[in-house]
Amino acid sequence: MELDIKNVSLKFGQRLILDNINLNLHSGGLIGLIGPNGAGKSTLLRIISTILQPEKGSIFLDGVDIVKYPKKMRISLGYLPQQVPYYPHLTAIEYLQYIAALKGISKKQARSNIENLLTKFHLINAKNTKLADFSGGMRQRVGIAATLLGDPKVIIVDEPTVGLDPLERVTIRNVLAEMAVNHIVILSTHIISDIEAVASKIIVLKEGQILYTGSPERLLQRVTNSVWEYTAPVNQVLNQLENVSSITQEIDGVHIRVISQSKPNAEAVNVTPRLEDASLAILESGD
Amino acid sequence: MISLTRIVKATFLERSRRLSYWALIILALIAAVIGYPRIKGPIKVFVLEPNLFIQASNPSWVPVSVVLVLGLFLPIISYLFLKNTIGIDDQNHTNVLMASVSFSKIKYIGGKFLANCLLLFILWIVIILGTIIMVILQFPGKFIDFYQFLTPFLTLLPGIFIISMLAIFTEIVPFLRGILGIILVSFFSLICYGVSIENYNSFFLKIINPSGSSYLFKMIQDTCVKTVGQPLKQTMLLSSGNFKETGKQTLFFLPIKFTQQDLLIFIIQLIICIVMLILAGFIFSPHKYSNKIRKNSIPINLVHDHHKLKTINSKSASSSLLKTSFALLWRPLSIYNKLALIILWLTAWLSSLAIKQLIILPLILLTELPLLSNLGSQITQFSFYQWLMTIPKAQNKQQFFEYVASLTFTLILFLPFMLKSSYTALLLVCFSIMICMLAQVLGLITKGNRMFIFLMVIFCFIYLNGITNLLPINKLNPSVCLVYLGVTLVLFLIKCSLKQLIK
Repeated sequence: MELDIKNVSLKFGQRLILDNINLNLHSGGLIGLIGPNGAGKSTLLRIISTILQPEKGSIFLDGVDIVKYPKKMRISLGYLPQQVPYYPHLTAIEYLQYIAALKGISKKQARSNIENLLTKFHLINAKNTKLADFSGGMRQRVGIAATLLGDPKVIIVDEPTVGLDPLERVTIRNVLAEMAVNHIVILSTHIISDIEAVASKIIVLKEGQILYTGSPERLLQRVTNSVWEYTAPVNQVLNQLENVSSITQEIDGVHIRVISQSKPNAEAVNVTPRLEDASLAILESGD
Repeated sequence: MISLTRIVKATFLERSRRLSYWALIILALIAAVIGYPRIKGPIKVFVLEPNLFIQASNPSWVPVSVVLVLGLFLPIISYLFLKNTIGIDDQNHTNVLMASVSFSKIKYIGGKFLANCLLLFILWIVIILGTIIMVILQFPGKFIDFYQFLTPFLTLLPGIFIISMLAIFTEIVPFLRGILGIILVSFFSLICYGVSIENYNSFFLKIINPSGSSYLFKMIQDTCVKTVGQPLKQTMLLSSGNFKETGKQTLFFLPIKFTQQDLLIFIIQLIICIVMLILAGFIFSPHKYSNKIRKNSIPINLVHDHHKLKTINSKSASSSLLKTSFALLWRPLSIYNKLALIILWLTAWLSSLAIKQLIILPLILLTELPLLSNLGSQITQFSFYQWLMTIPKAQNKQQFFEYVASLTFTLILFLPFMLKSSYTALLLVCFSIMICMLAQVLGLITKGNRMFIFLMVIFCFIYLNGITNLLPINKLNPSVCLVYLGVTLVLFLIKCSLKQLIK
C-alpha cells in the first residue's frame, strides 16, 4: 500500500495550520510523526483520515485521490483520534461488538476478533466492565482495539500513549510495530520513546511544516558531533540552560545533555546522539 | 482566595462567547418582531376585545404585546440556556482543580448567579432595542413616553433573578439536575403565567411568577376599565382564531404604576434568591467520589501471543446494532425514570379512556423525554459522531438503528392507547415517527437536547391543559396524521441536507 500526500495545505481563519505538506508513505515499518504541541500533527492525521478536507493538495491511496473519493480510504482505515470515542454505559465487549457491527463485520468473526484484541491488550478480564468505570489507560486500549477491528490496512493513531503507564505504552508500541510490517501505520506523538527502536520512518513537523522526513539513522547522522554531555553536582541549582536534551540523575551526579555546534563548556564531552537529541536539534534549528 | 468578580467575569466571558448565546440574542431580536401585535395572518399575536377596540392602533401596544409573548417563553428558554452553568466546570474539568483547593462555595455560587443575571440582562436590553426598532418601523413619526414604553419590560427584571437562581439551584440539587428539573421549572413558569391572567392581584403569585405577567394583566384590565368603564372579556394571545375587527375605540395603554408593595415584593424575591443560593452553596460540592473499585489490576505481560488477525467479511450485523442501540437508549436512564415508565405503562392498560388520554399519555411522553432527548445529541458527545465518519456508512447505520430503536420503544409505550381503534393506532404511529425524527434532527443540529426538551415540554403542557387537538386520539381527524407525516418528511430532508453539507 502506498499513501502519497501532495502539496497539502490548510488554514483555520488566518492561521496557516499546514503548509505544503509532501509525503510518500509505505507499509513495511511504523511511521512516526513527531512534533511539539500545536505543530499540526492531529490536523494532518485528520486530513488523511478524511475527517477534514485540505484547502489545497491531494492525497492518493494506491493511486486513488481520497480527497475526492474518501470512501477508498475509509474502507481500509482504522483511525484513533486523540480523544478516544466511547460510550460510558456500554461494557468493553459491547462497545467493540457495536463498532464491529458498524464496520460490517459478521457476528461470528467479530466475536473471535474481539476476543483476540481484548487478550492482546490485556483487557480480557475487564471485558464485562462498563467503559465509564475504566481508567483512562484502559479506555485508550479499548480505543486501539476498536481501531484494529476489521484488520484495516491503514492505521492512524493520534497520540495513543497519552495517559498510559510505561508498560502499557510498550505493549501498544509493540502491537503497532508488529502490524506495520504489512500495514501503513502512522503514529503521532511528542514523546520520542514511543517510536524509538520501532519506527522505520520519522516525520518531524513544526508549525505546519515538515522539517525532516526519513529514516531515524539519517536523522541521527545529522546531529553527530553536536551532542554534548557534562556532569553537574547533585543539588546544584541549574538555571539558564539552553538547548538541553535531557537531564538525568545518576550516581555520579546530574548528567546534562546539550545540543550545540560547539563545545558548551570545558567539562562537556561529545556523545553518541539519541533520537531525542536529534529531534530536539531539528526542532530548535528548524532545518 | 477566589474573587467574586473574577468568577463573574470568567463565567460571563465563557458563556457569552458560545454560539448558543448569540443564537439566543438573535432569537430575542426575532421575538421582538414576532411579539409585535399582529392581527392579520394565521397567528394573531395579541388581540384585545376586537369588537370594542381598534387593534394595535398606537405604539403603546407594542411593548405590552412583546412582553406578554416573551413572558410566556422567555423564562423557559433562559432557564434552558443557563442550565449547565455549573456543568461547564465539569465539562472542562475545572471541577477537578476546584476539588483540590479550598475556596468559598458561597462566592462561587454567587459569582455564577451574577454572571447568569448579567447574561440575561443583556438579553433584556436586546429585546428592548428590538422593540424600539419595531415601534419606529410600524409607527413612523409616532412616539410614546420612554417610561411608559419601559414599564412593561421592567416587569421582566425580577424574573431574571428568579431564573438565574433556579438554573443554579436545580443544577446542584441531585434529583433536579436532569430533565425532571427542566420539566418542573417549565411547568412552574407556564402555570404561574396562566394563573396570573385571572389572579393578577395575588401577592404570593407576584412573588413567585418569573414572567412578571401579573403586572401586565392588571395594567391591561385597569386601562380597559378606565377607557370603556368595564373589565376585559376577550383577550387572545398567539391565537389562530378568526374574528372581525369591528371596534372603533382607541386603547392607549397606561404605564404600569409600581407601588411600595411592588418594591416589597421585589425585595422578598431577592431575599428568596439569596436564601436559595446560600442553600445551594451548602449543598454544592466539587468532590465526586466513587466507591467503586475499578478492575484495574490486570498484569501486563510483555511476552504476548503473535496471533494473526483473521480476514473479516463485510456482512451486516443488524441484530447486534439494534440490540446495542436499544441499550444505548435505555441504560443512561435513571432507575427512577425506568420505574416511572414501567408504572405509567402498566397504569395505562388499567385506566379509563378519559384518564388515559388526558393524563397518562402526556405523562408517558414527559417520562420518555430523557430517552428521546438523547437521540442525535448523545452521539455528538464523547467524540463519537465525527469518528464514525472514518468508517464507511457507519454514521448512516448508527442513525438508522438509533431511530428504529427509539421508534420501537415509543410504539411499545403507546400500545395501551393504540388498541382503542385503528384510527388512534395510525395517529400514534404517525406521531411517534415524527417525534423520534424531530428529536434526532434537533439533537444533531444543536448537539444538545435542550431544544427538543423545550418543544416537548410546551407540547405536553398545552396538552395537559385540555388542548388535545395536537394529538386527538378521541376525535377522527386524519389531517393531523398527514401533518405529522409531512413534518417527518421535512425533517428527513433536513437531515439528508445536513449530511450532504458535512460531506
